[in-house]
Formats: sequence, structure tokens, C-alpha cells
Amino acid sequence: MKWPYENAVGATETLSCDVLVLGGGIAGCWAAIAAARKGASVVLLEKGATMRSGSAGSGCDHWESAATNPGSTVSPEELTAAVLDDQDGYNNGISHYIESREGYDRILDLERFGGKVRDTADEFAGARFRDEATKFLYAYDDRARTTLRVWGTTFKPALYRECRRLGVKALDRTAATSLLVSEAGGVRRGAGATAVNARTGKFLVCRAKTTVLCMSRPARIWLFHPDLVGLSEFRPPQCVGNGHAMGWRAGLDFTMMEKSVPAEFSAAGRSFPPYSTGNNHNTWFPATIVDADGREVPYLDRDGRELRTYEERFQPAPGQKFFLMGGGVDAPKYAYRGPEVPDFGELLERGYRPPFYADLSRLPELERRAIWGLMVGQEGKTQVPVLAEFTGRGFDPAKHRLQSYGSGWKSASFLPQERQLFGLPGGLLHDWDLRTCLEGVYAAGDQLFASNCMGHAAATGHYAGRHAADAARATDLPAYDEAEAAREQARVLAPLGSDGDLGWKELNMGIAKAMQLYCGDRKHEETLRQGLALLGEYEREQVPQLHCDNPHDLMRTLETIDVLAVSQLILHASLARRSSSRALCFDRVDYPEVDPEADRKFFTIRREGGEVRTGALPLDFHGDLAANYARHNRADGEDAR
Amino acid sequence: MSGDVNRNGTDGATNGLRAEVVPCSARPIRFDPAKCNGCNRCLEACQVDVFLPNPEKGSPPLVVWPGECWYCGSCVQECPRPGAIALSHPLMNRTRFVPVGSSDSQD
Repeated sequence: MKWPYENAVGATETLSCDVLVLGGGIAGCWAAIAAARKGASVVLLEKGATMRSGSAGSGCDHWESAATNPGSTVSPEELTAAVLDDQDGYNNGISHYIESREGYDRILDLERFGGKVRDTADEFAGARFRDEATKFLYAYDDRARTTLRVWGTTFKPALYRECRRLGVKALDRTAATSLLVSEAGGVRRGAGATAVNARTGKFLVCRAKTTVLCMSRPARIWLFHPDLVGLSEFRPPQCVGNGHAMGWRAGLDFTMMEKSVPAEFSAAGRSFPPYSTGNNHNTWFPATIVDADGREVPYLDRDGRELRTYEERFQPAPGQKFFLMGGGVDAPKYAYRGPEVPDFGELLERGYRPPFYADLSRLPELERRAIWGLMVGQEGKTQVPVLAEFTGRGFDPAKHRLQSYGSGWKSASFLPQERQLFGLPGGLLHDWDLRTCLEGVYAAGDQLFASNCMGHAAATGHYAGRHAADAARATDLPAYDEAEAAREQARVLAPLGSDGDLGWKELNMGIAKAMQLYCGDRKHEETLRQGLALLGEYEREQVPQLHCDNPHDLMRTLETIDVLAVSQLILHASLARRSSSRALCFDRVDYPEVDPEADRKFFTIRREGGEVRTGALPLDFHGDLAANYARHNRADGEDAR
Repeated sequence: MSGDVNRNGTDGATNGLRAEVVPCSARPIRFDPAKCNGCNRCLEACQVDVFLPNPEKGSPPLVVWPGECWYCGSCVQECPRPGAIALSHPLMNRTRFVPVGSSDSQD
């Protein structure tokens, strides 16, 4: 069929602004809002549709680590110390402190923008998890009260409205492709970015005083399904780590890129769509689980003590101040472990009969509605295809039990070589301003190393946006290399005019198989090098053969070229760590020693003039959290509010 | 903010843009043509951009890339006409449920 949109292939548009934001998800919208509030002119480039783009575009059911909300009994310092310790230090002290310290300010922002964060309609009046004065609803640890249940389906439209109200120029269907770098006077600094329109093919050069990278974490590295592409991974299919690839090409420092975890989500086959099965994690915590005969599975505290009441499932164990639960927490250490049901194997040993089910009929009514209704109604991909669809099929949580596949929330079993960047993966290294190693370039959300959920994206987005705006005020618009931009335009548009016949899906399949083979669960110097050799061959010989017929497929093709770049980054990072590590889920069979003291540090990696440079930083490079935060922010806290 | 567009670089070889429906094994999105008025709000809300506008004005958008659907439901959330658009998981991903009090015992 004839392409229905304008054909602007070959046209170039040039824009300039104070602050350029790349990515229009939760982090990007807040970065744009924070910069615009400070009076900066802001351009935001979003590959999809800002109103609903990003991992939380269609919803989000809970907001973690809001340690400064009025109900919280845990300080930002205590909470950040716990998440650092839980990962043996392989976590982001700076960003999670910002999340703990400012997440609640962002919740209040959302309310001002028209999002819903409190039970204003009193649907849950009198519930255990509700604070009657503030009408906030809490999840998980009922003593800590750092996690709020929220109406996340209202968030992205509210943020988008606020962006427009503040005059942010949000350009949708515009995929950023490279960072512009200025080299004036021997100093390298960011000068904006290039992009291509995914409907018209128009090339964009956007010059900026400062730039904030707010794009996704990488995906489609090990897991790729050419038929059900959109279900290959947990996050949206276009979230493949374009920003990581751009940063790698521009010489930015990364850390923890050697970390990947056994795959948890791929509804293209191995798993079910998140939170669409009977389970008891996150959205579904703490649903009652029963076996095939309806026999109830007990919840145990961290010492194996059986909990007798439903309310106890929200309480820390004796002697424990608080427990950790949520997106970044998979198998917490004893110190932070909350109530949980025994694992699948143990249940079978205890005589329970599979399959298992979530049985919400046994819950008090308000607790049942908080899961099936509020949380399943507000989580990212559940309002329409789960709550509405299952209800349409006749599911009634007071009358039916919903099957669980496997014993946990993953509802899946994967092959060991199938990996995923999940649970605090690697990303860009940054300082206390959330600035990368390149002057004028900032980062937030899933682009930061050890990122996790929406509260983290929101808080770091706002923080990076305001620091980028402050820096923009003190600088002139940098020059950029026009010849470099022209080369980038030729690179970006090449697949539309190429004589080749390679489709992006075939290349993505090739990359995924290579990564499973050469960078799977068990890593070895020789196989990692073979992987690099093969991907290098793909880059030299296959990428020039890529061909597509329209700007939409061009977007997917460019994504796949970026998947290739990020895969190379992961292989290099895996070579750089010559030991194994528990917290990094990193198994080097040729260096089996686990977490030797000499390697207990962040290895950093970047590309410089075609060479890979590695370095190291102490795990506590964030320093004293409260003191450094104070040094980098206004004393009156006005900037954060 | 300032901007300008130049068209000096237009390349004749790339002008023939075209697209065909890329079939996949699932049918994520279905329209009820009797209810859909072709307003294209679903198309504009889709971050994955799986639709193209129907050449026939007033008709439902075309699901050109069904395999790329993320099953988030934004299209349905934005639809002003209830029932005009439906989203369902592929058959293999439809969770089973049974009445409470029943047993899975086969005998």
C-alpha cells in the first residue's frame, strides 16, 4: 500500500533550545517539566507518543521508596543504605537516594498536574492500608509505609498536559539517533542530538546547551521473538537502549554492564504477561495462594515462622525494622526479607498438589478490591487486557481462583542462557548532578546504572532536568560538527535506499542467538571473544545489507543496529571483570572466584577513538549521601519542590 | 527556540515508501466497524505505532504491525466509543480460572 504519511526522506530540520530531553517516558517528562519550570526552552524527542509512551505509559500500580511521605517511618538514608547493602554495594547510591528523598515531591507534583494519588473517592475508607487523614493507600510493609498504591493510568496524560502547559516542544514519532559533540578548544561537550521521524523519515538536528538522556534500558539482547516482537521483553518493544548505544558511540562511561539476570519475562512464549496470572508478587502481594484441592499455602516470615493472619503478611518479622519489596528486589538478603510463601519444590515436598491458584475470595473485601480492581486496574499492562478482558470472560475474584504457572510471579521457566537486563541492570555512570562524563550531557531513569521503577524515573528525571537547566544558563549554544551530522544522516537513512535484502528481524535473531551462545549464564574469555568477533562481522558485513521500505521499519532497523552496539558493550564489559560475582549474577567459568576483595568495585567502560577503555571506582564513590546531596542542591529544598 | 527546514538533500532513490500488513500468529486488536468512527485516537496513542490510518476516511485504522503490539491497552483507553476496539492476549497467554470450592481432581 502507498505510505499514508508525508515523505520527507532527505529533508533536514534544524532546531535549537536550551535543554534537549531525549525520551518522553516518566523520566523524560519530568526532566522537561523541571527544566521548563526554571525558564529554559525545552525540546523533548520521543520515538512513540509522549501521552502514553514509556514503560509506565498505560499505567503503574505502586510507587516505591517515597521515604519522605508523611506516613513513612523509614528515612531516605536508612532506605538507601538498605538497598545498597542488599546488593553488596552494586547499586546506585546517588540515584536511589534522590528517589528516596524526592519521590514524594513528585507524587505531589502529579496531584497538581491532575493525576490521582489518593483515595479521594473514599473507595477504601476504613481499610487497614489507608491513612484516613491523607487518604494515601500503602502497599507491602505496613509499618515502613514507603510504598504507595497509586492510580498510574492517570499519570502519563497528566504529565503530557503539564509539559504542553509549560511550553515544552514535544516532538512525537521522533527517534533520537546520535549525540552531537562539540570539540571546541580541546574540550568535548554535548551539543544536542540528531533524530529521524518514524513516520516521515525527516532528519532532525537539534542543537542544545545541555542534553538529558532519558531513554530506556537495553532489551532484545538475548530475548527476541520475530513473530510476537512486542512480547519479547517486559518493557515496550521500542525500548531497546537507543540511548545506551548513543552514549557508547559518543564515548560516555558505563558501569555494571556485565550484569544480566536469568530471564524473567518474555510473554512471546516462556512466560505469561506480567500480573495476568494468579501470583503473589508486587501487584498481587500478598494474595492467598491455594493448591489444586483448595488447600491454603502458608505465608512464612524470614525465620520460617508461619503467619496466622492476613494482616501479618504486611508486618516486618520480630526484630526487623522494615522489609524490602518491589521491582528492584528479587531475592532479598535475610536482613530485608519480607513474608513469602515457600517455593514450588518445597510445597510439593510438603504434600501440596499442583497447579496452584491465587484465591482472592478468601481476602477481606477491601483487600480483594485493592488487588483486583485498584492494583490490577492501574498496573502498566493490566487495566485493559487483564481486568477488563478477564471480567468480560466471566472472572469474578470473589467466586473464582486464577491459575498460577510456576510458583512465583514469573509464571515461567526459561533456559539458562536466556538472560535479561532486569533487577538493577547496568547503565550510564554519572556524578551528583546526574551528569555523565561528557560536559553538558545528563541522564535519568533507566539510562542510569542500577535503575528500577517509576519513583526512580520520576525523581531522577526531575533532578537531572533542573541541573541541566542550571548548567544551560551558564553556557552558550555550542557549535557542532556539521560534517559529523551529515555522516549520521547518511548512516540513518542508508537502509531505505540500500540494495541489500537483510531484514532487521533476521539480524536481531542473529544477535540474540550469538549472545545466548557466547554471553549466556556461564561466561569464558574465549567465548566472549568469539561473540565479539561474530558481532563485529555482523557490523561490518550485515549492517550494510539492511533494507527497509518505510520510516516505521527504519525505526526498527535502527533499533536493531543499536541492539548490536549494546551487545558489543556487554561483551566488552564481561571481559573486563575477571572474577565472578553474586550480586552481579556474573559467572566467569574461567575466573570462578566469587567476589574477591580486589574486584569489589565498579568497573567502568567507554569507547574512545575506536578503543575500549576500562577503569574502576570504589563501590562507595557516592560518598556521604546527605552531605553530597546538600552540596549539590539548594539548602532550602525549593528546587526539589 | 528556532528552526528551519532545508530539502537540499532529497534522494530520488528513496521516494517510493510503501508498507504491507506484516502478518503474525496472533490477533491482538480487533475493531467493530459498526462502532468505530475512524477518529484515529488509538493510532495517535499507540507508542509502538502498530497502526496506519485507513485510506477510507471514517473507517478503523489498519493494524499493519500486529506482531509488534505490546498489549498495553492504551488504544482502548483512548477510544471514545466503548466497544469499538478490543484487545486480547494471544490464546497461549489466556490464564485459566475455576470456581472456588471446585477441585482439579480428574476422578
